[in-house]
Amino acid sequence: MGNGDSASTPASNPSPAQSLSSATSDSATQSAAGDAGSSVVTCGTPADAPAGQPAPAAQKAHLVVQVKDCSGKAVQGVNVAVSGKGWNGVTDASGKFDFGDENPDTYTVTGLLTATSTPASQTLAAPAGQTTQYNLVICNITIEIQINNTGTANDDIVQVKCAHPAHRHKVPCQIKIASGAAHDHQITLGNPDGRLRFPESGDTTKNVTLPAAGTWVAFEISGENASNAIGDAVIQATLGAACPDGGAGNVGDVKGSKPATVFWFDAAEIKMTPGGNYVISGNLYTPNAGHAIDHSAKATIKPAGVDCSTPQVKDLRVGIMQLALQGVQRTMTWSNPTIAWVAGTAAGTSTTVPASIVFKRNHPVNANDSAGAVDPLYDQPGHPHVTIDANSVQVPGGCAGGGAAATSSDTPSGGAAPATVNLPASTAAGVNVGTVTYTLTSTKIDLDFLVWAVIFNKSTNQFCAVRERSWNLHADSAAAGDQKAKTDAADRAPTTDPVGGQPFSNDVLNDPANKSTTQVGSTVFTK
Amino acid sequence: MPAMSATPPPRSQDATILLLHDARAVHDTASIRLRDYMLQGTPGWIAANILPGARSGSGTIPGASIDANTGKLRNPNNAAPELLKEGRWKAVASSSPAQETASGEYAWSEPVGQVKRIPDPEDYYSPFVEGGEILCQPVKGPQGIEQFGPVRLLFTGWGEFVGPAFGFLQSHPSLLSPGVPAPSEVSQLAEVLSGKNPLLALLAFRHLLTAHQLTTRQAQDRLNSSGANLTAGLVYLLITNPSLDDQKRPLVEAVPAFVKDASKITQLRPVGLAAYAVGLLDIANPAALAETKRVVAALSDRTKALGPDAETDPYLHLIFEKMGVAR
Repeated sequence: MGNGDSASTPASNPSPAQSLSSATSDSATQSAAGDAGSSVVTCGTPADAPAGQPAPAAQKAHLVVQVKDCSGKAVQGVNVAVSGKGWNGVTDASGKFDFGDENPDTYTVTGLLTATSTPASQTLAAPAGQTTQYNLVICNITIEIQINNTGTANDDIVQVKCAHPAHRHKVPCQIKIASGAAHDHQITLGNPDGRLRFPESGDTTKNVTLPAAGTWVAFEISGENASNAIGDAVIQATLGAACPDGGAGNVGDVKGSKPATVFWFDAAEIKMTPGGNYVISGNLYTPNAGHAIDHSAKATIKPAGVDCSTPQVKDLRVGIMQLALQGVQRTMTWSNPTIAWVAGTAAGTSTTVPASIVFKRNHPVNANDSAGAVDPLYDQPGHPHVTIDANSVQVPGGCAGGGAAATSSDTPSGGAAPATVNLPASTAAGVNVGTVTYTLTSTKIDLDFLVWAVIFNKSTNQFCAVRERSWNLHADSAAAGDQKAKTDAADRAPTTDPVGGQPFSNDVLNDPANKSTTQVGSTVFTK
Repeated sequence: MPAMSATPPPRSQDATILLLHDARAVHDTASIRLRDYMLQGTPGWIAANILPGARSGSGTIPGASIDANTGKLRNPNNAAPELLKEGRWKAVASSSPAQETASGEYAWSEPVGQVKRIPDPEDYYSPFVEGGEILCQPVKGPQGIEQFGPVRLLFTGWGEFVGPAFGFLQSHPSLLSPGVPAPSEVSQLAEVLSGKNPLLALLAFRHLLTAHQLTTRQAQDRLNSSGANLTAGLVYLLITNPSLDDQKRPLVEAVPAFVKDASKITQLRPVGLAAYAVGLLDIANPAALAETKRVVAALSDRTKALGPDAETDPYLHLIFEKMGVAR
């Protein structure tokens, strides 16, 4: 019995005993959900009429359901049920299910494609001795979504948003109706767990119109919150308006989905290790050996299993950025003047000279401590005379070959300073009375830095801070005690944006406009 | 022998200045690339003594003066102090017979306190301020240090080895070329390594080392049979060029072994000098800096083992002090 190759008996308890007196033979009542007033939802073509064929058992009514989509194509896998009876089943490849022989009555048959969709239904009288076919039409478009515009799953990932500096990593995506539509559909893209955006901060959903012809429609996603596991950020495509093809379907019905992953970086750190004491070496005030400070940065990509060969990840590296803060940074003082009188200067001649000459290099702005070849990072390998450390950029942990610390160092010097400075002393009339010689008595370095471990895209030069730390160097060659770099006790989550590009800190310091030469005090010489 | 350098040319006898001279000489000599001094296949170089003038190394403020009546600094151009470098140079050898006795003067000034990302060796020790024997390639036109072309501070007295080194290069043009030497070239380099020209030996050592063709035995033999300057150069190369020997062991292990077997302080001074040179001038080579710490630790242990004379050796004492080694 039944139609096509559907099962001949209902899937669950299909034959409850019913009184024949309750059967109605010809007073069928029809209705369709979402289409009041119409006998059957038709998608523009009439639904099949009840078959009206004689039933094998004269005392019984035979119930069959046929489910189609709006294009008239049979829909397999629809959960069908007779309301209030507990009889249910799943449609076969021909879209049919046979409930078998039941007592004649008026029944409402429903069809549900997915748990979240609106059921289609039809109410008909099922007369004795006939097969009554319930015809359900459902909005059964199939939707395809591609993340990163590919059909592969390994690149269905997006980097979580960056807080410092604030920006969102966007991944191009596309969506289309793969089948089942007679008209263009309004679709709303969403992500129930809030890990994704489409793509800006406030874009928790995005409405798109999908052509019935199946043309791709572009959209973008960005990562708002980190994934705990691969594929836990699901893009859902729901009906944004009533199904334009007709058929059962309401706003909010899920018509497609795509799992995505919002990757992020864990176990990030920026370590700073102070180096040696500052001493005068030749003309320089520098650490006694090695560096003033050593940097070490790490980060590990999460969640486990992210494919690091994908375009979103393959160019990402752990690097270091450093910002030199504003202030007076270098001060050289020459003092203890002596005078060599011009020959013939009369005994008893007096002249007053500055007690000290002070030369300062100011750093009036916060500036990126970098150089053109390695900008925006503090350091990058492969640039002779610029590269400080060949290991200054590293593949993140969690990726093949990754996990090693990105390392660099800083060795700021006072700059070459002569041991003596000579200045002629002359009268207002221009008569030279002698040469005054000053001796270098102090070189001071006053530096304050912010350093970040960053995730750096070596292709786009985009960066994102993952850890932050401060260090400073306040050293005076004339002072006692340790003169060396100091760091914060620990690194911290970033609170400030790293700065890339010009001006570079050394250029600021070497700018003539930021140099000043002044005097301090006075000393009188009498020949 | 408090310092390894003879005098002249370093005009100062200050121990620190002499140490800086030696450190730069180690760095520069070990880094010489003869091809930098070839012009269209022909050598073009001068080894010269630099004889700084009395004012060289002092500072001045261009256009500034002191008002003798008020004691005020007049600095109408708001000029910054500048470092003077002036003096004479005199050739000790040259690629051109006509220039073997050439001489000339130099004078320029440089901004004081110029901040650099990576300081130059010239910032630590300038032969144009303190004197020294240099290998250079004078060029007409540029002012400042550029008029000398590529400048390398030589170990004092090594100017005489430059000519024979270039002669050898011309007769064996492929031998010191970059890349892995052929087996026959490895044999030739080994001969040069054990030869009497220390500059050529140093260059052959570097070539074998960087081409991963140097054996631990060769390194040890040469360390044990070299003068102080060459030993310092060899140790410097071993520290700055991580490489493996034919048994796949780090060749730099030859240095602690050499230190451990040393019986005289004169064997240890070059090691200390090389380590100091690395710590001062190779700050962009973190692997070498790390190795330096190991070498210095071995050196410190050995000087203690050799007794009070070694422990109080002024040259090593100064190196330890400069490197902040607690003793």
